[in-house]
Amino acid sequence: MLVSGAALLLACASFIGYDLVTFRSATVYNVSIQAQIAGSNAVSALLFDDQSSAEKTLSALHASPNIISAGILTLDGRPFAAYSRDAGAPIPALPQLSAGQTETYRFGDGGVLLVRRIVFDGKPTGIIYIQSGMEALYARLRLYVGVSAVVLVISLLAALLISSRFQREISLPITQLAEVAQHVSRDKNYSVRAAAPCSRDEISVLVEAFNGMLSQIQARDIDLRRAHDELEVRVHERTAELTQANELLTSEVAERKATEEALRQSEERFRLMVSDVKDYAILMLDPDGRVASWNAGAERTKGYQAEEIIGQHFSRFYPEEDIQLEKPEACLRIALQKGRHEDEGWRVRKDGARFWADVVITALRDKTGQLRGFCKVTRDVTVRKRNDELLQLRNAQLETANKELDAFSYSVSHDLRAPLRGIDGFSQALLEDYADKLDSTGQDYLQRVRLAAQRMSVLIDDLLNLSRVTRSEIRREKLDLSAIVRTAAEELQRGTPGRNVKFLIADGLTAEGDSRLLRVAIENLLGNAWKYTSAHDRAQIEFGLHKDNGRSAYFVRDDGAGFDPRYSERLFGAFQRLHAATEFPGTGIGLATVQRIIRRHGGEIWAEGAVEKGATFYFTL
Amino acid sequence: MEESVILLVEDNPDDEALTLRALKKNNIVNDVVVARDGNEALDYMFGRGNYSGRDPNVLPQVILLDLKLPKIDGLEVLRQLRSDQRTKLTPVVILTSSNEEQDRFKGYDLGANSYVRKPVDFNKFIEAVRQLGLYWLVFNERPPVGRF
Repeated sequence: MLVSGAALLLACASFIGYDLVTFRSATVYNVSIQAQIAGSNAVSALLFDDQSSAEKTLSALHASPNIISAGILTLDGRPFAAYSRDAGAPIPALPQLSAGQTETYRFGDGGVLLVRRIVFDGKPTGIIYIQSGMEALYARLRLYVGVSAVVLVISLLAALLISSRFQREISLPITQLAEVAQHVSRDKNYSVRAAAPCSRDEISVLVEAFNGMLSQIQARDIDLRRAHDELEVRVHERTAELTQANELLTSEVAERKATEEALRQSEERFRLMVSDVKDYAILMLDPDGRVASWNAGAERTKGYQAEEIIGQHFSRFYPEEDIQLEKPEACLRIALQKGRHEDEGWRVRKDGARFWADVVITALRDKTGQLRGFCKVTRDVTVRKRNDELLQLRNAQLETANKELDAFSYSVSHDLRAPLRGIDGFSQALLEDYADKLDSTGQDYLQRVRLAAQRMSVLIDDLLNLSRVTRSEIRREKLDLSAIVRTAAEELQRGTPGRNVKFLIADGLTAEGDSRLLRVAIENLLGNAWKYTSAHDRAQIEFGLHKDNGRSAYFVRDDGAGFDPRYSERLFGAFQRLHAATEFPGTGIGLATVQRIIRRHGGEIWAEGAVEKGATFYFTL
Repeated sequence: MEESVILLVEDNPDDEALTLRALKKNNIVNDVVVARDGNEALDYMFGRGNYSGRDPNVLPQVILLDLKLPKIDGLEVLRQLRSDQRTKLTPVVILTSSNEEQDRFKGYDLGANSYVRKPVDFNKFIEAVRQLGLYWLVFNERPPVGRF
């Protein structure tokens, strides 16, 4: 309606404007005609200076109601005649006519003022002016405005009428639709529906389509919300899971970091340790056997600097003959199969010198079992090897010597005594069968021969015993020393009955040792005690354990002949005797044998004594 | 069949003479067969070589066996005697100079009945022989002959 109103208004205004312009130019034209007519009628009056005819001519203008005033001026500008509708009106200020100009006009003071030159016979005779009012124009304008207003009102009313009808049928449903859309867009409420119009036209189709769209949107919205809810639940669950996982991860990461740090430190320590190790060549090989790392020990053992050997194949450490036998490859193969390979053999230094190496090659695998390389630890054990060889040689020599000694002893045992038996036996036979042919001196000599042979026999036996003690292997077992002592004592008493010897034997003394050898030792010690108390009517022989300064020693003590402590060192020497054989028989080998037995047990033996004050032999095991 | 023969296995003529003297001194009058090495001893026992024709089933009452012998030593003689059915029970007394532990062990291990070391002192030797004779020739009951 606004648009139609505005259009109408604009049309009326342009019409009025156009009419106004046309009316003004028509007015100017009319006034100009009237000025020409009046001017022509006034020419004669001017020529004859007849003022009254001129004023008559002018008064004819009275017929035109618009003319307000008019006047005629002479050429020099002196008013000649004048007319005025309202008497007494002054002459208005006239616009100047430029040379050659016949006519000019000016709007103003509610009308138009036209000035025209009066020409007669081509000569200017005077000037006429007419002032015309615009009353007619204004009246005409008022009429136009009135008509326009009426037209406007009528057309607006008509428009209103039409639009109200239209509004009901088109705008209202659309407005409602718009409101619904606004509502939907504002409240996001897709459950509202636009009211369907009564008519079955495009609008109703539109509304149905809109409602259909809303239904779809609503359904989708519900689906979306459900999906959203589900999603939210799942997001919530997932978030919880993630949070948990994250916490776990965080703690794991922390743990891992700590572990890695510990590992790193440990690796660093290990690396420093390895690199500083000087006695062992520790090197890493890649899976093909090329040197990957090199420590100080490797440099020292093999003579190469790290930079000249890294990347080289490790077979260069092997002697030529081993390389031809493909020993380096075999070593890696065994390490690969068994995880570890130990080997001893000659290796070659950078300068070509050989050394005997103790080598351990270990295959290094990662978690997946993939071979990462080998760790090779080599030690120069040339000195040990030489010592071993020397030791082996010595052992072999010793074994040979022992075997020879065994054979010698065996031979002595069998063969050396047989001649003695012959000497003794045939001497005896001489004494028995030819006693009548020998005087007492001869018989005495033969007795001496026999005794010498017998002493020789004892000597041989003792020597064999001594040698046996040295050679025989020691088999340690738990022994009842007290019982061994008792048995030996009984044997002595049985061997020489009738002697008044008291034995004091401590009970329950045990020791670890070789039963046969310790028996020999005890028999010897007790035999000595028995022998060196033989000059006394009564004697006492004691066996026990002596404790002194936390050190305990077994002892055999007698109250017999004793010995000069100045010579106590010589007691244990082979063939050393402190008594004459006539005083006490003996070979001087007994104590040497005892000492050897005790020493072979890792013990010590020593003696205390004084002449005729008895002797005590202490021993440890 | 049995006879009261003593088989003396001894390579040393001095020891042989002294042993015979000791036996005589003790009034042991049994026949003494002397084998001077291990081989001869086995020939005698199994009736072969110089002794072929001798009935191997006739066994000596006791064998006095020295260990150190030419050709076949005493321990080997003992081993062969013990591994033969006919002689495995025959009393064998090892009579030797040595008292080496290994000899004693091997001797008994191979089945010797006794091990006596010959003393250097001849009087002791006579005494030993006397006791041996008394024991093995008088008191000891011989093992039965035949199979059970």
